[in-house]
Amino acid sequence: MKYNKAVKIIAVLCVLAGSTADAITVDEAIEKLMTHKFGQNNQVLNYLRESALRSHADPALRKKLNEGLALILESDAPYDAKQFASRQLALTATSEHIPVLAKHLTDEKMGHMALYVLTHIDSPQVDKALLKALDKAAGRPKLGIINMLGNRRCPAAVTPLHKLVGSPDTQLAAGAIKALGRIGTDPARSILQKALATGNHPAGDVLPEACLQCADRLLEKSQKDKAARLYEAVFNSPSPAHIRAAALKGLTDVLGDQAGPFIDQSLKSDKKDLYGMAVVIVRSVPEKKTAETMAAVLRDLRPDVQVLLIKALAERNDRAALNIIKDICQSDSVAVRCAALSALGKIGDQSAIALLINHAARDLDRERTAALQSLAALTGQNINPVLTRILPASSNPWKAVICRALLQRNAVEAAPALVKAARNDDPSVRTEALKALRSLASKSEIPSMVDLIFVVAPEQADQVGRALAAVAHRNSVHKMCTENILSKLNQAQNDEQRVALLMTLGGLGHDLALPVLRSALNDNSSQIRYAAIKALSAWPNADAAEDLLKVVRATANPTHRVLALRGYIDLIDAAALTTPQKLQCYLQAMQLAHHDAQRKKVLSVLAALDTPEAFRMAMSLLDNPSLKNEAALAACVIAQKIYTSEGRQIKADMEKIAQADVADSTKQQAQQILRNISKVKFYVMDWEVSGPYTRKGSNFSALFDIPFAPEIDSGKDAKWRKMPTGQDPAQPWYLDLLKALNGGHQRVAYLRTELQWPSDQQVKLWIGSDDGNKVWVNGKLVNANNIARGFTPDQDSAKVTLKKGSNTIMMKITQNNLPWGASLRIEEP
Amino acid sequence: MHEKILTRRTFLKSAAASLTVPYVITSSALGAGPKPPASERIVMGCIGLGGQGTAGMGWRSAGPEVPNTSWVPKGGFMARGVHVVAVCDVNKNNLKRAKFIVDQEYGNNDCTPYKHYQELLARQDIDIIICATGDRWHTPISIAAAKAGKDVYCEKPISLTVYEARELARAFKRYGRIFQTGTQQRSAREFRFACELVRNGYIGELKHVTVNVGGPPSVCNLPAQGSPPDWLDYDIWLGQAPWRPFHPRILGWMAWRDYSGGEMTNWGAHHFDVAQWGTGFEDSGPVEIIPPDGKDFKVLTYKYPNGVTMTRNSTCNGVKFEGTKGWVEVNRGYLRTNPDSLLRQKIGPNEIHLHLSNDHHNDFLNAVRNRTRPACDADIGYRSISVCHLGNIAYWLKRPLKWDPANEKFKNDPEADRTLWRQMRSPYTI
Repeated sequence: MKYNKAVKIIAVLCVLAGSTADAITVDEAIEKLMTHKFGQNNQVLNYLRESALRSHADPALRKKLNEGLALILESDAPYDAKQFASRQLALTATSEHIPVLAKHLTDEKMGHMALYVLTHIDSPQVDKALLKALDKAAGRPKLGIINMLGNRRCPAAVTPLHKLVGSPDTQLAAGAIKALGRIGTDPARSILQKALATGNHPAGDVLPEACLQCADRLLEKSQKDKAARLYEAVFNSPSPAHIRAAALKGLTDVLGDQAGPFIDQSLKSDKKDLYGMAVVIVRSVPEKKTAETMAAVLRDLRPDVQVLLIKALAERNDRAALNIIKDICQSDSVAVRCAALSALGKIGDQSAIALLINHAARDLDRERTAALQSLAALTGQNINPVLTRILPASSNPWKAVICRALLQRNAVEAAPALVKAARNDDPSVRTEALKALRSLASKSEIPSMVDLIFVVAPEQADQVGRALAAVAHRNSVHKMCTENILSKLNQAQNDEQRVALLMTLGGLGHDLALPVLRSALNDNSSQIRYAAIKALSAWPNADAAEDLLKVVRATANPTHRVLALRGYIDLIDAAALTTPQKLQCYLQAMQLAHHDAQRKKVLSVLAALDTPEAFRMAMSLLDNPSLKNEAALAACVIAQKIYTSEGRQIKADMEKIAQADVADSTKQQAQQILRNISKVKFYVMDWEVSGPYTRKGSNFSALFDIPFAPEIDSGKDAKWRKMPTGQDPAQPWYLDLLKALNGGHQRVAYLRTELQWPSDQQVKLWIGSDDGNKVWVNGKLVNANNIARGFTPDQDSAKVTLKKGSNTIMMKITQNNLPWGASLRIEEP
Repeated sequence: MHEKILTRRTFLKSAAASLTVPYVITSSALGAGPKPPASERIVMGCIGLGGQGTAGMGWRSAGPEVPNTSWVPKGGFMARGVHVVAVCDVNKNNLKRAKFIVDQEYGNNDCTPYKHYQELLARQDIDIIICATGDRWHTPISIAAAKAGKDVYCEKPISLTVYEARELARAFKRYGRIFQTGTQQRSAREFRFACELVRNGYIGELKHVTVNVGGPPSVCNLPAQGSPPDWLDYDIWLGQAPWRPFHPRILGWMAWRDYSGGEMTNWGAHHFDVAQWGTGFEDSGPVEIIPPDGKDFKVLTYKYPNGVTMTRNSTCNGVKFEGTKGWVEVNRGYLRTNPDSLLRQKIGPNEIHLHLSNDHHNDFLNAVRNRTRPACDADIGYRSISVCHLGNIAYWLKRPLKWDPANEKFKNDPEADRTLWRQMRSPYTI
């Protein structure tokens, strides 16, 4: 019989519990529950839970279920069963269940579960049951009842709770006091206020805290006078400052804008809790009048409190204190002035512009920064027009400030005015105007900006060129800008202007300018040739490389030669060439170099490469006494990038640098790399990565079992690329997939490596992964852990046998949420 | 000829910089600056010192006696000049480790360990606490701290139920204390910028939000197995939850409903919070919550009063806002927009600027010093975690629910209202 019942249950639950048919009845499930112990009867529990949910729309089922659950509580079923029944009743119980629940109220274990249900039954009978049990209960159950009486605000509990206030059990006494506060009736207030006045109460903050709760309740019930008296009693009591501060908050809630004297008193207090609460009140109180009243006393406060109050007034955003804050910008205290200037950014308007500009033009760093930030933050549709309008007629220091403000305000409409400002004779105004134009000018301003080159002092033409390049880049109008400059080349009246135009063409880097620049290399003027070399040195691709090499080889001017070679090196450094191509170019540059300075320049860019060949080129110069420092440094920089895969090959060279007569910092760097090489000894560091792989609707856990390209047909369609490693010196062996694959979650990736092993040998793989992993060795799955977890090394292990020669290890790493990564190390027996 | 002539590359670098850095970031916002003088030093107690709590406190080169230090990040509050004087945990091992770390940091033996948080909170010299216990303890400890005059940095989720969070928000307002919810995405530029784009209408009228987080917790029916370890006070560890016999797996509490809201409140506290931030409902919430029904609603779906819908779905990376003119998708270190040009959008002074913070811990400390509102105070934390809890309730009850955010209860559904709070096990209470 029991066997058949179990079969029925399983059958039903297999088609989703209770959703279609009831092969098990509630009675049968309840019978099963009678003997339930934690860890058993999952199917029955699921069925009953489902029944409780379904019964929301099925009164007959609800009745049946509730009867059964009550039966469990009435029975001698174990706690485990009764707890389960109580959990369902928390959702379904009615006032009918109060008697059966009340029987458990005094029980040490079940007392809580009874309250767990009773708390949800909205009936005065609950209060009666609690009061009845209060006398009989002891210990934790009694305290639980006291707490619930308080939470239910049971007026009838005041008298029995009052008796407990004097209990020698301090926990019970404190619980009773708290409960009285929560009940918050007038009799409760009377008891609490009297105790507060007499000082007849347990130690600590329990009583004043309960008084506050009681006053809060009275206020909720609109008994404002009584609430105010209680708050005031606490505020004036010898309680700790944070309690008195809470009373101040209550006084403000009940008195509104009449609470000014209390706030005033608190602002002038030396207790940080009190003046802290006062500024919080000023910040958050809805009445603007209260804020205005408090702002009026601002000048009477200590500077540190002034700062707090100014910040509070600023956060209100209602301009309650705008005029006072403008006035106090003249305070003797720098901190107060800065706070006031910052506040104006939030609550200021057009009327604050002049004041802010004035302070922003001063020499004091903090003040200038605060004023400038506020100018940038001022809100209002008329701020930008006002700034633009006053720009031409302002003094030069003001003009510089206005240009900066317009830039920070992203005032693109001010660009024409800024072009005019850039014609100013004052270098600081011109510099600020050009800086602003870089971000604000549109293509419409380009012709007039090119014209600036013919206006500004020769030494500032490069600033114009820089701004033009930025505008062209931002608006993607390199061609238009280049054409405009080319059309005006013949308007140049002196070499300085021609130089500026050529330099700007270099900055723009458009092909249209190449013939002009090449031609300029042969100009009669040395100055023009110099400019052409500089412009070509800045070219965005390798097209100008050959031109520069020709200069290096042909020019008789040593300055031009140095410049061209340096430009060539820079150009190759920035060009999108392959590493071998770059290395070839650097070898060529090294051969053409006449001076050590030029060779050092080559070494500086060589360090950006990440191949053993580049490393060897750097090492080849280590024995040159005048280049050894730079060579060692370049070698170390390259080594840092390749040691994870080339550790064995570069170790001897690193040891050589560590012993060499080079800078201490370089030697330390070499020693650190040697330590890193040692650290990664047992970790597999040389990996390829494939992925990420996702599938719509599948999370990381489902993806774990979905094969993607690397798992299918021996991975013939999978695309692999090198996995960056060793980027974090603290854990160079961590394979950071999050960084490598640009973030994301609910996805998987694969890592693969070829491992050469000297002989057939059983080893242990130690795997760390965030989140889950599968690991294959030579195509055989050796570890599978579908899990969501954070990373630590060595979370999983697997014994495997590596064969002599080449072994393929592949890992699949799932990603739930950030971060995402793995590590694998090999332990030999 | 002048030697200092700008190259094209410098031009481009400067131009690019002006495109990608729309905000002025002060050094203080980045946590820089000298160590504050003792008179201005903020004194801290740390409660809950597992991995999250220890990292929040500041894991500082703990040395060989503490395992796995080589890969645990340094930082936290100690790195920001806060002085830790006390630590508290019911796990003796955690407590011992935390004291070791703090004492090593200061080169003394002064850090006081506590098992009972009430004793730590009673210390008058402590200004702030970090609460990084299990979820079920976040609200009781935070409220007790507010009443004791402490400001609180509380790890998320801030509560086990909707009404716990509501009580927490009320308490911090009532006691005028500073509370920062540990949702540090509020202090990350990509999230702030994404929400500013949405709030300022750059993707047109917002229509839909997708949030990719894990699901609800399970009901625990583990058998009794063994005794609680001697390094753990099991009764306090259980806290408000119904008593049950020990099983080692119970310590992985996030899986179980008695102790946690599962991934819905773990990652949900982050991503639903961002969703509320972007939609502008951070002081309110959705009005309907519909669990998956296998028919019209394949996934958990929320509806907001303005018609915006929100789903929990794995089809996006983090949070995705979709509007009539484009979309924004954001996660940690990840920001994509359609159109791409939105990535370079500057938010003007007359537009909506959201709370500017680039360091969640420092933002809290600034709020403590200035008594100002931090990035994610208790009011915001309450509403955000409510979204997560409401989703869990819909999953548990398996039926659509109508929520009244103003009255903070379900509409005409007293049975569903019963899921909004749980009676705490005596003697634990708030």
